[in-house]
Amino acid sequence: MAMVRDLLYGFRVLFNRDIVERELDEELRFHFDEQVKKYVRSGLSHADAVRQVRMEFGGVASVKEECREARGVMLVDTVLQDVRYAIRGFRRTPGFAVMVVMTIALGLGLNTSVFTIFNAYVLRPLSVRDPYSLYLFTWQNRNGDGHLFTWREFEDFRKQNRAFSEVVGLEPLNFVRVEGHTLIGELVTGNYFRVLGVHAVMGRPLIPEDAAAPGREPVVMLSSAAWRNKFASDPGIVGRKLMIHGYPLEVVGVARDGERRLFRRK
Amino acid sequence: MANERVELPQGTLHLLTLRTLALEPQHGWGISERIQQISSNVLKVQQGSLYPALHRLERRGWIRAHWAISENSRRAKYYELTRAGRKQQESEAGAWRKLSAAVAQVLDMV
Repeated sequence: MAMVRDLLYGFRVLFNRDIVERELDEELRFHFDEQVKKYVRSGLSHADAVRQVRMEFGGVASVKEECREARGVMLVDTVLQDVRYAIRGFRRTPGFAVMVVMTIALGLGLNTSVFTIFNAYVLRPLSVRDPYSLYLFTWQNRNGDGHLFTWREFEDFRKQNRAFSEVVGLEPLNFVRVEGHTLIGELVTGNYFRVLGVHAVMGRPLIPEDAAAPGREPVVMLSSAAWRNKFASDPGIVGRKLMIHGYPLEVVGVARDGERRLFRRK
Repeated sequence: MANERVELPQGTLHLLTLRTLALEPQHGWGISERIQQISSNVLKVQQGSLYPALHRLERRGWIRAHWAISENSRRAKYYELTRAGRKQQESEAGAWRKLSAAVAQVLDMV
């Protein structure tokens, strides 16, 4: 209750500042005049009375200042005054103001871009279903050379696997030229989208049947970003054939927003 | 005469103001006059401390202000006690009486 009252009082003081100030002026003047009248009644001349009261009154400005302080809105008032002062100062020295603004802008911009990169690479987890249950298998020989799994090895691994609910194969496909655009892609097995729980906003995601038989017509799924930026959000994109590495790939769908490649290679 | 005046100890101005307003609503000048008269000119309240004190009391909700026409038909800001102010005044007066009686006892000891 006390807080509400305090708040209402504060609002009145803050928003009706002119009224409150005027009232204070009037109040102090009333006091001044009454005091003068009192001295005149006691026998002083009007001029002497005024002089006397002035002396007693001291600085009216400081009285007002103290009243303002007592009302407890000093902070807001002071901040406003400071802002006004700063703006006046900037107007006097525009060159300096421009330098300050540019310095701050540069600092902000740098910070923002650094954080954006940090956020994308470090902070944001993979936007897939249950990212922490995913494991990456690689194969290295004794010399530390990396090996790729052949299709056959992958199939063996998949069939003999007991520990994981599913196994997905993928191979990055960096910088492919598609209809004059450079795209970054990934060759994946048919169960990729089902395992990761990624849905299509258009058409359908890849399904295991797409990879059932080698040599079957290959298909491709676009990310939302690629569809928007490279194909101008073409509504008829599903069903189109894109030439990738000399093979015609039919677009079957567009993945939902925010979908990215699963693994980024060094 | 000036030498007979006593500086108000810290905090007593609140009590004196509340006490004065307990009699009847009054404007700032009236309060300072009343205190001076009743104290036989010993206590003089400077407007430099009176008005900040009034604003502080109003902020704490112990008094409220309204504009009215004064005895010489001029607009003046009148202050009156709120219910909380009346309670505050009573408890502060009690505390002050206790304090001054105790101080007096100690002083009279010698």
